[in-house]
Formats: sequence, C-alpha cells, structure tokens
Amino acid sequence: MGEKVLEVISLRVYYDLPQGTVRAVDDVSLDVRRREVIGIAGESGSGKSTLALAITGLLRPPAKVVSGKVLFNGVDILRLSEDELRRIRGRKIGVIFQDPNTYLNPIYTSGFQVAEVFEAHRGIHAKKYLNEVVKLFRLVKIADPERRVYAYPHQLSGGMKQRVLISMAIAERPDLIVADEPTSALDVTIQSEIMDLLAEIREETNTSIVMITHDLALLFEVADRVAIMYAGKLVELGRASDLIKDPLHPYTKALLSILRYERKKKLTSIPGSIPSLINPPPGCRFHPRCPYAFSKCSKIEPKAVDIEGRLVACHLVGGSE
Amino acid sequence: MSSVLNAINLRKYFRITTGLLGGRKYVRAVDGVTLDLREGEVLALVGESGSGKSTLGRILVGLQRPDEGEVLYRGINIYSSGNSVSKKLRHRIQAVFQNPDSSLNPRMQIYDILKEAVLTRNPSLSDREVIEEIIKLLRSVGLVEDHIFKYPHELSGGEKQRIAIARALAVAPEVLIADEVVSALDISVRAQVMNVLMDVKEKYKLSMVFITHDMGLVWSISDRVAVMYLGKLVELGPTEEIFKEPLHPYTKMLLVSSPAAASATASKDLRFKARGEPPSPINPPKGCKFITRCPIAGSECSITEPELMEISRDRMVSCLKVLKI
Repeated sequence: MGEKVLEVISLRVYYDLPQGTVRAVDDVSLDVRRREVIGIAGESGSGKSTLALAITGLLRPPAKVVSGKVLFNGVDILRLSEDELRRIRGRKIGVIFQDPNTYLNPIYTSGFQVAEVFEAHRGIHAKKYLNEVVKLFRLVKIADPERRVYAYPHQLSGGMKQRVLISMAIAERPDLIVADEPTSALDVTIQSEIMDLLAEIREETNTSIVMITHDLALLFEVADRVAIMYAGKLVELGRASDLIKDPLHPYTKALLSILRYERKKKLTSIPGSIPSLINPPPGCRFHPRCPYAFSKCSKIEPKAVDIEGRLVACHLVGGSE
Repeated sequence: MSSVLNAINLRKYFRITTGLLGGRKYVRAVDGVTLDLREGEVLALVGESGSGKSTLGRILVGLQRPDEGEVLYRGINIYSSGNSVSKKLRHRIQAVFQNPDSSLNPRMQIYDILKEAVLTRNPSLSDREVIEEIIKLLRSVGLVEDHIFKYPHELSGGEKQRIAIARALAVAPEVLIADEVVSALDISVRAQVMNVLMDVKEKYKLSMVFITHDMGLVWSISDRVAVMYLGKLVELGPTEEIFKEPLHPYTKMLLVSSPAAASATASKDLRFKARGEPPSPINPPKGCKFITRCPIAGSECSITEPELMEISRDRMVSCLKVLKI
C-alpha cells in the first residue's frame, strides 16, 4: 500500500437550485495511493462528475461544499484560493475530460495550446516550448509529431484530439491525473489504445489516476481499485479483482450481472430508475430498486463498513447495527 | 429461411467540396453492400463510427435513396417508385434511432405522438379505438396509461426510447431497424429497454437490423453479425461462429478491443489489439481498405481489393489472407 496522494474525507457537495437542493455528493470518503488507478463508476446522477470537479478544484456555483475535505498531498484543495489552485491544477493535478472539442481552442494550433501549459507554469513565451511539446506528442503516440504540433484541432481525429488533451494533462508530470469519461466519445478500438496509453504513462511517470466512467467493463479492466457510486453515495469500494469475483452491495451485484452478457437470455435489469437527488429515498438510497431490501432499509441509512479492506454500505453486509 | 429484406449492391456517396477551388470529392459511406435480412432474425450491424453502418440503416428503412443498387422488401424494390418510398412499404419497415429527443416532437403529448402513428395505419378508427390501441402499445413497451398525457420532457431517457419503440410498432411493421437504440441510456436502464425490444420482437414477429458498437449486446441478442469497415462489409456470419472464430482481422480487432465482449469471445490474440485509426473515407487506401491497421497484411493486399466471398456455409469474409487467394 503506497502513500496517499489524495484523500477525500466526508465530502458533501450540494447544488442549490430553484427546485430544491441537489445532494450530488453526500458524505463520500475515499483515498488514492501513489501509482494507483482508481476507478469511480456510476450512472448519470450518481455524483461522480461532481466528485471529479471537487477533486480538481473546479466546483463553481451553484455547487457548494457543505462539509468535508479534499486533501491533496496533505493540503485541503477546497480551502485554496483560485491562484493557489492554479499552481496545482495543470501542474500537480492533470485533468482529462470527455469531449476534447470543448477544451481545445479551434483557432490555435494544438502544439501551441499544449505549450501554453508550460508558459502558464514556468513563464517565458509558449513558442519556446514547442520542442518539449514534440517530445510530449511522441510520448502520447501522436504520429508525425513535428508536423502535428502545427495542426489545428479540426485537422485531428477524435482519438488524436484526446491524445493532445492527455499530453496537456501530463505535461508537467503531475502526481495525479483525473480523467472524467476520457474515452466515452470514442470508438472501442480507439478507446483501448487510449487506455493502454494511460497505463504506460502511469508506468513511466509514477502518477496516480482517478478514472471516472459509466463503462464498468472498461473500468474493471484498467483499475486497481473500483468505487461504485449510486445517487450521491459511495456504496462499495474495493480491489477490482475482489469486486468482480464477489460483489457485496446489491447494486454492484446488479451492475455486474448486467455485464455478464449471456447468449439469447433476458438481460438482467434493475427495475425502476435513478432517483432524484433533490428528494432522494429515505434510508438506503437504493432500497426502492433493491431485491433484498427489508424494513430497516427504508428507515436507516447504512454506514459504510470495512470488511477486510473493502468498504460496503449495506444493512445486509457486516454488522452495521 | 426466406429473406424479408434484400440489399443488393448498395452504394451511397456523399459529395463534399474541399476549399474554395476544391474539386469534387466523395465520402464513400456505403460502397457496394449486399446483404439479406432473414425472416425473424436479429442481424447485428457493427463497425466504428464512419463505417457507414448508420447510412446503410437509413437506406434500408427508406430514408436515404442509394446512388446505386436496390433494397427489396419481399421482392419489391422500395425505391422503385418516383421520389419517395410508398406509404405502404414505409409501414412495413420502421426505425428507432439513438436519440429520442430528436425523434419525438417536444410539443406533442405522448397521446398525440402515438395517435398520429395509429391513425396512419388505420384512419377510420374512432377516438375510443385509438385510445385503446395507444394503451395496448404503451403496455407492450412496459409503460402504463399514466404516461398518455405527458410530454416527452416529463419522461426519462428510457421511457422516451420506449415511446419511440411504441410509435414504430403502431403501424404494425415487419422489419425494425434499431440504430444504437440504447447507447445513450444508463446501464441499468439499458437492460430494461433491451428486454422490451426483444419482447416486442417476439410478440410482433419482427425481423430486426440492430446497429450497435456494443459487442456485448451483439453477443446477447443477435443471430448473425455483419461487420462494416469504411463502407464495405468485411465479414458476415452466425454470431456464435464469429465470436468463437472471427476470420477478418478487423473483426478480431473489434472483439479484442471490446471489454464487453471479453467473456463471450474466444478471440484473445493480442496481435490484433487495435492500432491506428481508420483512414479518411474520402481517400481510402488502395487495395484492401484495412491495410493501414492490419497486423497480417502482405504485399498483395495493397494491390488487390478483396471481395466478400463465402468461405464456408453461411460465412462470408473479404480478406486475401483468409481466403488465401
């Protein structure tokens, strides 16, 4: 077990909307160790992206941190000023988002935009760093990097643009990379290449990776540990190999059985739909859809218990009396 | 088994202009595809984005006239008459697309959306009969009467997709083209909608073309798989055989790259791990179009373009290496 790079402690992030308060992340704790790939999985509305924004210090109103800490190398990110954050984000924490088109400026060359990362953190004009960008492009396996640094985003394919974003994220050799759905917009073939690339980068730079996705099959292939979120809560967290072999939380069980595609059989489905986070169900938030729910589940919220290094929040598991 | 739909040598090129003085160039979206859909089967159509699978789907459903070739529905060419496909034929072949938000009119209640469809099939129905028909449709996709006076925005993604399915069923089709119908849905909801789709397929005795990139779903529901690459079919055959022993290197690449297919496929040859991206469909390479990414390509592959040929009963593949020509 390596040292902790990131520690999220009892984090609550709510959105104040006219319709009510959305409890997007509601008392979530987890840690990320050095060189670890931790996967955070959940469906839409599970709070996983809000968690990503909190970790990277990118929360903006109407989001507000109600309580909790996000310790990065021991420093609480949530208490830092925008200036202090900017010194960390991009340098110590790299960020990769889903849609590269949103994050690349169409009127600058891709190489210049990556060079700006260096300029922002080291000063001197971006142009001075083009050589370093070529090296980075080579590292993220962009073919013909000397030419591609002069390419505008629209001249690159989706996979290539995502590589440019990854090169930005790793430019300053960060301790932590937060990747929010990094391959969800890409074809499976390109996705598998990008995943291989992230794994190689981890090997070479010793960085930790927080990977957030709804694609469980993918997550279980690449992550060392997996956290499952449901309706703002962390319901299970453990080693990927343990979770896949023996899921404990009924939601994890259901998700995994959906993934076991059997030939010409009905797909296992979870009845009902994802609850509103303005009025989440009382007690355990999964209880209205849970096949094992009993009276206690609708009244008392289960606390996460530690079972041999695995955290599970379910009344059926462990002695959560 | 007889065919419901025959696609014969379909071609659809989209013209694009490049630059101010740019000459005419074409995207060869569908480039000579011959394919049949058999009675009662689920034919999965797979490939990366840009492979032409959605354009092929649009041609099959009658939404996109091909430049060449024909689509026969029980022997009748659906594009034979004048400008548009005849109403009668359109009712036989229906489609459901990925994004229900763009296929359901946001200003219409579910009642009006379905009423329109019910009345196109049978304009003489009374109001009472229309309502009964609508309720029957809603139930068949697992919804209840409560939904009838709602607007699309009041429904969840899964519910909207069910309405899109119900509307397709309203005209009593025989063929359903399902283009990435569950790709936008969350995993727990995806399974529900897939089960609804398979239920109605049985109940209404549909034949279905299922366009997807999800190899897990392909394994789970399809009878045959057609693999497309840059506008061409590269492999076609029964699902179990293709997962057990894929022949075309591109099929192998798709299966090796797809985590969802891991439990279903025997194909684990890491030589076929994906590399590179598909070349531009405007300037595809000479010879075999897969040559730029193929780990087993030989010199002959850059000269001759392979044709789709039958290699064993019911299995077709277009690869010089496999066919050993």
